[in-house]
Amino acid sequence: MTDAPAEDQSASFYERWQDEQKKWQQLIMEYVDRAGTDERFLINLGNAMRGSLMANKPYPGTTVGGGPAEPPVEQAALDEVLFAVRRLEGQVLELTIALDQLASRAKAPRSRKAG
Amino acid sequence: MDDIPSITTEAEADAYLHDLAHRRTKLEKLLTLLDSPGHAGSGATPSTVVHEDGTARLLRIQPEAAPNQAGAPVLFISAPVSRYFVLDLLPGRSFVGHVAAAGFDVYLLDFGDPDTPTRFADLDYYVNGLIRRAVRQISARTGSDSIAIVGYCLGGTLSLLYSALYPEKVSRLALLTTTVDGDVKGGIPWIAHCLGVEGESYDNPRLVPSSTVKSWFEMLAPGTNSLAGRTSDLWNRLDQPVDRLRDVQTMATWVDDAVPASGRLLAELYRKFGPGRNGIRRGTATVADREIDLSRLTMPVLSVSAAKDAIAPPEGVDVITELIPHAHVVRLPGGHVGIVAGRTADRLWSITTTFLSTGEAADVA
Repeated sequence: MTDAPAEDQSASFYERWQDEQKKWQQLIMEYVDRAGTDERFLINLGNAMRGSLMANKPYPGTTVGGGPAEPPVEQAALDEVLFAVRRLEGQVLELTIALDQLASRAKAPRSRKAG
Repeated sequence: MDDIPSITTEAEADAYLHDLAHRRTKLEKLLTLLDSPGHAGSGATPSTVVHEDGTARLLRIQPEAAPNQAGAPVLFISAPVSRYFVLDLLPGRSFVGHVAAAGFDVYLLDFGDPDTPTRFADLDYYVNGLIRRAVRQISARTGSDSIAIVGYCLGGTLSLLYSALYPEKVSRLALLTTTVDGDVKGGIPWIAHCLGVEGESYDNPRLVPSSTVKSWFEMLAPGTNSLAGRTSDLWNRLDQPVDRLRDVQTMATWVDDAVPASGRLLAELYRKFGPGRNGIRRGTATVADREIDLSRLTMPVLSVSAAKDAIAPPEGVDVITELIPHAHVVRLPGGHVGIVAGRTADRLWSITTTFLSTGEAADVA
């Protein structure tokens, strides 16, 4: 456990208490000032209270209107088409990779000869 | 809040002031913590994007000091329901950075932020699509006919399925906290059963919101995820040095920063591998109507479980020896995230690096 900073034991209890109160006031004012002027500070404080250091990004599930988003029915058909296009793009990508491989294999013997 | 005690002796006065100062120090430390940059949601080790495929990216890890190549290229695959950066968490605390620094040519598959069309993505898309193309891309870049694969969590399941379909493409297979017995209580399939993932529609899937995905993980570790519980936990941890706090908090950040998931993928996983179906353990698993035959896995296989894993209970992981008798099985102390990215993660990193080099599992504990 980390000990609190050393206190001046020669001072009276009242003086030490007063000194501690000043430090508390400074700390609380720092928190309040930051909370009132820096939105990111509030977000990060909220995240920290949940054990997270996720910076500058609201904690999942706390976004406004963040309920489970069942997309509108009309969106489903569009999404399905878009995903089918993505599959096709993937197949084209695969073809491109295969062609690149063939091309590099074709080049390989020539470069060995050149070397 | 505690009442201010009545003070009648000097000792009580000292104790009171000491307690006040102690609490103030904690709040000052929290302020320092809040000023720290936090985690930006990306990997810690320098990398370049060498391939893009839909929302997915293939990253090549490039540590500042890159020694000579130490073997076949290595592809890390994390779970598509969480951020890839758990494998590349912080400078000096990066699994992929460690393996790259050992001389391997390391790649990391980032499934990215799923968009709404991704709700239609199924096992075929992940295994025969994204992973297959990533492997081909690495082979094309490096000239290696086969590569090593390290899969984490659900990424391990995808890696296992891929390796069974294309065994000639995989020289080593390391599975980290990868469930192969869906009937074991606990773990994602079981939670899916309890929490209604079976209700996800395969035919009309939704993009499962990140908050829902996260709530499933939270259910696996009850007692630590209520707001009050986490605040109390943070308050207790504020006695620790700020650097240590950053490590712990960054791991928590990864857990918090869940991504939406494909409803079709979850529905298919549940139908095929969930409790009662248990397709991997029973040998009935398929991907796009192709049967998964684990006897085709003749390459060296490593399976690592975590003794305190609430997400992939070790009993459901270690049983892989019944399916792949030559698999090296290691059970490490710690939890699901801790063994990969915690303060003792270097034990797993060393085991994995040795396995990638030799095909053997030598525990360094």
